[in-house]
Amino acid sequence: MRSKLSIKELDFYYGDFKALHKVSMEIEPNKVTALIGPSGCGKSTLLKTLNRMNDLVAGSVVDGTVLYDGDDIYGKYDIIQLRKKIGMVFQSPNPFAMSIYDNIAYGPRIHGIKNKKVLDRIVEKSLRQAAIWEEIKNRLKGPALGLSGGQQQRLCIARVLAVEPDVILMDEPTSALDPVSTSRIEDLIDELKKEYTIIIVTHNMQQAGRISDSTAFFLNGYLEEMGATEKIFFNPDSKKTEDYISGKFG
Amino acid sequence: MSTKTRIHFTNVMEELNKEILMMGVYVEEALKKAIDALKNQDVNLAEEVIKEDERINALEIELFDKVAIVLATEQPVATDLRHLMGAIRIITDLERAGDYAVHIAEGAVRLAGETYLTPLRQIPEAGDEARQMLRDALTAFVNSDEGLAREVAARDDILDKLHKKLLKKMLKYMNKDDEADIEQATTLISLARFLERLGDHVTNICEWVIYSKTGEHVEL
Repeated sequence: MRSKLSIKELDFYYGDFKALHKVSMEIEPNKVTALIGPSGCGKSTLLKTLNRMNDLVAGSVVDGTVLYDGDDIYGKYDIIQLRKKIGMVFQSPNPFAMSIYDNIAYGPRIHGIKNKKVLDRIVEKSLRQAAIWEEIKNRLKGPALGLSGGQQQRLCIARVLAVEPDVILMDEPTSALDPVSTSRIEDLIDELKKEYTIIIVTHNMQQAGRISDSTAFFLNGYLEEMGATEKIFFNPDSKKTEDYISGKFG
Repeated sequence: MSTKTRIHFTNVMEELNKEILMMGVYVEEALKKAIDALKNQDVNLAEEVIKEDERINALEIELFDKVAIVLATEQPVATDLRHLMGAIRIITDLERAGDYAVHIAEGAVRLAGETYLTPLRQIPEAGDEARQMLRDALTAFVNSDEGLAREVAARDDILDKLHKKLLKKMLKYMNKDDEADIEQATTLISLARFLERLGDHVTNICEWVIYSKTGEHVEL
């Protein structure tokens, strides 16, 4: 199967600090790939290189290639288009201080959609896909910040879905949520992978075990081991991977 | 806000239950064929049972590994954890039950050329009962039905009684001085003993159902 993203010998520097060392990995389409590892291991840095969020960091340098559907995203790639196709959900829910409806319609409007009926359709479809429509359909004009934390995070996922992405990057999307909201997001991820490719950074190893198909373990900026999640959590090749997932360091 | 969560895990558990039921069906089939082979003195059918036991053995390993992966990736707790611990023990009991079906099939091969001393009654009867008990015990497991588990375990007495009845009947032939008769009687006694032992494994399954439901280790 052709990879959705193909990362080859990727080095990344924050000024003098080398955060990623020759990372090579293949991300399969319609799968959930979990990036795990102790703080500072480079997993969030790698995630942000995949839609060039790191371009905004002064002094950052990228070396190596990231191919998205075969095209080098660090070549002549339209960054706006890239971030539309590869969306991001952050650690803390960050809805805009506007209505639920306007949060979802924001992206499509920026991309030029003005027709009210089309926007209505996009809003409903995105909220349904994010499994939150039934809870909030009667208060679309209400403030997004009035929702619970778990609802806000699903709203943020709906906001990403509204611009019809292909890949969704998630940076610890449940670390600020209670267990029930976490389960709901995990169920949602399992559902979304039918249509999207998902890459998730998580500090919660159990979560990686539960929801991902592949797991990549990072240590000190190196990709220590990557494989099928069942293998990584049952019988990993590397002793360091085993020590980390069994909580013996990190 | 009471919609169900952990849908993926729930599906995995349901799938595992189905596979355990399927393993039970294979054991039931093996037992039925082994007894039919004995009744009809059908060597081909008996050999089929012996060969098909490989499938049951392979399934034990496959399900064992599957449970291990679920434990490693899903971190189940409480009832879910106990259900998986029970599942590990139950697949071992099923594998052993499959072995007893094979032993009966081997007996059928041994007795295929002989004329039975008396028409076979207790062994087929015990076989039917054992199969029904096995099916009910696994139903109790997937439905976490403690009452059914206790009821099935109580039926183990039926197997014990049939075993004793056959034993008594065979002793008659063993008092005579015919070596061939004694040999046949001994074989039939051992086949009845295998069925009785198979019943003990079904009782074990019932005990695991109760453990899975309540966390209590009981002796049924």
